[in-house]
Amino acid sequence: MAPLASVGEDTLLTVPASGRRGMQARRRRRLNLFRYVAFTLFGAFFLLPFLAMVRFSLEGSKLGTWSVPAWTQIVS
Amino acid sequence: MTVAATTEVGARPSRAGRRPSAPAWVGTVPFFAYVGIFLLLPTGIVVYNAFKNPNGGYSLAGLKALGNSQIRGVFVGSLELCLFSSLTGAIFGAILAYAVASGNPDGVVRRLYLAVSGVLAQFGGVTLAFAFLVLIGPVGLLMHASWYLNFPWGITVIYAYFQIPLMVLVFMPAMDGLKVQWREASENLGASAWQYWRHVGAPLLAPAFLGSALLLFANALSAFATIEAWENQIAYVVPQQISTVLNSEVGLANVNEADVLALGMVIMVAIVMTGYVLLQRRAARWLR
Repeated sequence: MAPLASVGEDTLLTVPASGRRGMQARRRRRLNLFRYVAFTLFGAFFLLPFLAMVRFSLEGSKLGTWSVPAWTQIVS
Repeated sequence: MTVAATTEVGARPSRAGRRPSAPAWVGTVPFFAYVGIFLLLPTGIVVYNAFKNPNGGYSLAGLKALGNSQIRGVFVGSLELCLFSSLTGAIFGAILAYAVASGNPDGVVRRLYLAVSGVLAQFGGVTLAFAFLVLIGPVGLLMHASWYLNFPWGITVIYAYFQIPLMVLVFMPAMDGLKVQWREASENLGASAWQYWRHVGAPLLAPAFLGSALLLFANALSAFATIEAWENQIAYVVPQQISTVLNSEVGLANVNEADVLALGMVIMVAIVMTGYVLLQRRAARWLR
């Protein structure tokens, strides 16, 4: 009996190259598209608050300006 | 030359002065000592003090505070926030876990997302609340979300920041347990993707999904610093009410009432974790 494989592993059964076209290729393309979209959206959700914090820490006295005193004061 | 007894098959090595062997249960002492000191003792103190009144005597009067409309309101608030944040974290975390698990198991993306999930699952408190305040708060850099200070929507989005990674971590083993052969077998029998998930994938993952959601529920229930940094003038949830009761500025601090509230939380967590253990046992059948 062939050992079972999990979601991420290639099937252990040998499949001829022609067998990967058609349904399997379509499914693989859809899965890859789903993964790209998911990683992009979740990556943005997790990264944006950090970026906002960094941008805020470099904000000057006027909105939209840049300054570094907030960082230099840490070591002063 | 005599042959030592140690050369016989299965013979124990002979040593001068053998150490006495300890019973097997001795190895569990550090664990139970840790559980006793950091879990059972504080819980016992909370339960004990919940039945004491400010005069030092014992009574059930403290429990009557649970019937107070304000106290009921904070328990309902806790239930609302925990429900919404756990559902949000569970659904989106499961989607992300599937995206990660369906790739190369030795790939960079999987390792990166699992490592980042391990860090972000513990990220919370004032820093997290401040990050979202700066991002979508009243003077947010990205946008000004009018619902940001609405309970429970604004704080639910903030809680999702650590609930989703936690879900990825606890749900990933179940996702990895879905065998490729089951998908192939269902396709060979003519099932569509929807039919596979409806009749095979979802029933298999349901116990693990629900158990993980319960874990997220308990995690949200105990969170305090994040919601306190988000809004500290109004007590929306039980931990905030405990803080209010303990830190009264007009001398109305009531430690016993705080213990009663904590007792209520202990009961809620006990119910939730019992459900989690039962569901995990059910889910473990398919992960062997």
